[in-house]
Amino acid sequence: MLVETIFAGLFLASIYALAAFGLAIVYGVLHVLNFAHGALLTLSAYLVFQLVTSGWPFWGAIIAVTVVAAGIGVLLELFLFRRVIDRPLSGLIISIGLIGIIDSLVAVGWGPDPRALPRMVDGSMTVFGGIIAKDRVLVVVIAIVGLGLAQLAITRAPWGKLLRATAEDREAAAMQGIPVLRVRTAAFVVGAGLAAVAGGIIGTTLPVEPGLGDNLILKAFIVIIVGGVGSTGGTLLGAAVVGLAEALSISYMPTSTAQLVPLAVLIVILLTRPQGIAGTLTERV
Amino acid sequence: MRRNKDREVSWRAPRKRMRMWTVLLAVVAVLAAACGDDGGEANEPSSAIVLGATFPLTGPAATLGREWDRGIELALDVVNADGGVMIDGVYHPMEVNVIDDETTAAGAQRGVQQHLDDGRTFYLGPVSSSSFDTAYGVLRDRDDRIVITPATAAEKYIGTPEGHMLFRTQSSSAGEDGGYAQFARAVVAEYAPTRVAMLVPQDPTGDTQVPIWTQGFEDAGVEIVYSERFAPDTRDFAPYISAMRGTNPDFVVGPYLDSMMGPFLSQAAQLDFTEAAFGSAGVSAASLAETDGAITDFTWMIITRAVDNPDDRALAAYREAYFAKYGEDPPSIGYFALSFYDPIIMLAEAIETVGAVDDLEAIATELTRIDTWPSQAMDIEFDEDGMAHYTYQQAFYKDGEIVFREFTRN
Repeated sequence: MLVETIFAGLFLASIYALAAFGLAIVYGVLHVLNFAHGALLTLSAYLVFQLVTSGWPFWGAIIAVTVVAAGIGVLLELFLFRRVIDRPLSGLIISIGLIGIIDSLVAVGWGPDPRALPRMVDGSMTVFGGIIAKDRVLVVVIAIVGLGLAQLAITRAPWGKLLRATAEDREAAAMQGIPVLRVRTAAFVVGAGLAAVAGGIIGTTLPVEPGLGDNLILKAFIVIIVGGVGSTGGTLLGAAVVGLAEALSISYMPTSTAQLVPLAVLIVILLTRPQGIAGTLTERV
Repeated sequence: MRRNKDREVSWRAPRKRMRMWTVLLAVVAVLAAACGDDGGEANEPSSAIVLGATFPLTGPAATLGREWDRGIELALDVVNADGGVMIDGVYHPMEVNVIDDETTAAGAQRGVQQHLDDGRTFYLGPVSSSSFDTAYGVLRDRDDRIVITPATAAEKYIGTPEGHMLFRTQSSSAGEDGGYAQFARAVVAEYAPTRVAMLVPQDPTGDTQVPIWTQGFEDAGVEIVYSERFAPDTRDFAPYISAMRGTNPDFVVGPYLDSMMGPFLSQAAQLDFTEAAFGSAGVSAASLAETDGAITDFTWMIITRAVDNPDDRALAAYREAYFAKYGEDPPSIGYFALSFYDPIIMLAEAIETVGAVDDLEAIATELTRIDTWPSQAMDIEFDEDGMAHYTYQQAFYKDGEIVFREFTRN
């Protein structure tokens, strides 16, 4: 059972990391808590479902929806968030308003019934005596490889350095000739694209339903704070901590207590290390 | 000078705007008065009788909400077929104003309060046990309303002063001979389990179910080997399935909504946890959709009657009306629609018999006397306390076949 529990924790960590990574990038660069990230994740999952049921191959649908979501990200940044560039609170309120709009679109488009994307692979496997679903193994592998590469790009690639520089200090970055506004837009494009990928992949293991992203986004915020606000590397670490803590507590504690464990982890981190596990007080992205 | 000029302009313009707004507001008020409903009063010729409904159209229980909505629409089609409810020789169309409670207690409370502010006297819902107590608090101490609800949580008010003119449209769930206890007995009779696991949501409905099921199984000598609750927004059940598998149950009582039971069964199938039989109340065959046939034994308590059973001639007309209106057969979960379908037609009949919409005591009394009505689907009767009694069913799925068994009235 321990093996199954640890794997369940890794799976939870993977979906939390998938949901949180794009959110962390947007916050790091724009300093906007984009609550609409979850709604965009939900919308993307439905769009992938729509394409797949129309005969598209799964990965083709993921790529197409990622492009669409990135386009939505550009529009949102240019026409909404850029207009409140110096008013983070206004950005926050806009993002909350977007949740209502996107959720309504989903409700009108697909109704209340949960939908299911086909599993990427069927069946289970036995690992050290524990029975583990193969599709979940694949989700964990995709999350580790995909987000690992994304993290590598952010730390090593030239555009990643621009993101980090802008996140660190926007005015200083502008003085160095970095096109800050374009970097903001790029951050939103990457964030929205990652929401789309997350929605499509999570939808293969959990039901695609109206509240999918909204439920995940709360955990994503916990993950970001635990890992270190604005640090994508910390987000991955935070996801691992929260996911494993949640799975272990569900398996070995009364559920009523287990539900409080992620929040307890959050409180302990805030009290003992307010910058998060991996963050410094100044680090961004 | 310039400042004075600005001030002069700034004084005059608002006054002009104020006059414009005053005129506009007056026009809007007149139009609203001309077009608006009358909040349930039917004293004027042909005025509509408006019922205030509060149930989920969004959130985890939205699928049930769609069926409640359809049950209401089909009932209104029956009531309004000849023009509505006849009072003093004039037909009054019956209408329902629906407010989405978003499957939350706060939403249900807001909805009920809105209906109250709009002057409604007839209420459909709140519907969920998870929101009923909160929302019913708005109406509990009032005598100027009739409340019709399927909520299990309403049961504790029935027969008390706080439940005056409160009608529960589902037969008793919570009593010793209620639906949940009967479900446990039916499971014992069908599957003869020795080790039962239970996994239900941590909410008021779960609070009601767990002790009744525990008692029911233990009275039959069945050991409860696993009993856990989960947060209602949980959709990843793998950790629970892993823990449950370790207790080796032969019957598993799962969550009470398809939106929870579906992923639970799908993940159980994916993890090869399929040897036990599964079941619950309030779910449907839709929960099996993603199990690829791996779950072979599944049972669910149908809180009314199966509307998707073509062999049930009593519901043939209902099924035809459903298909004619929505272009599809009623789904397995469509049995929820009957929670409102018959009671609305009964209410229309009661109002017509009393001959007034404002004599609520007489209407409530009449509701307990009605035994036939147009397009009747169920053999429902309200006792003098407002509790419904009827023959309801339990479905047993085995290897692709579904058998429906009837329970006598309680």
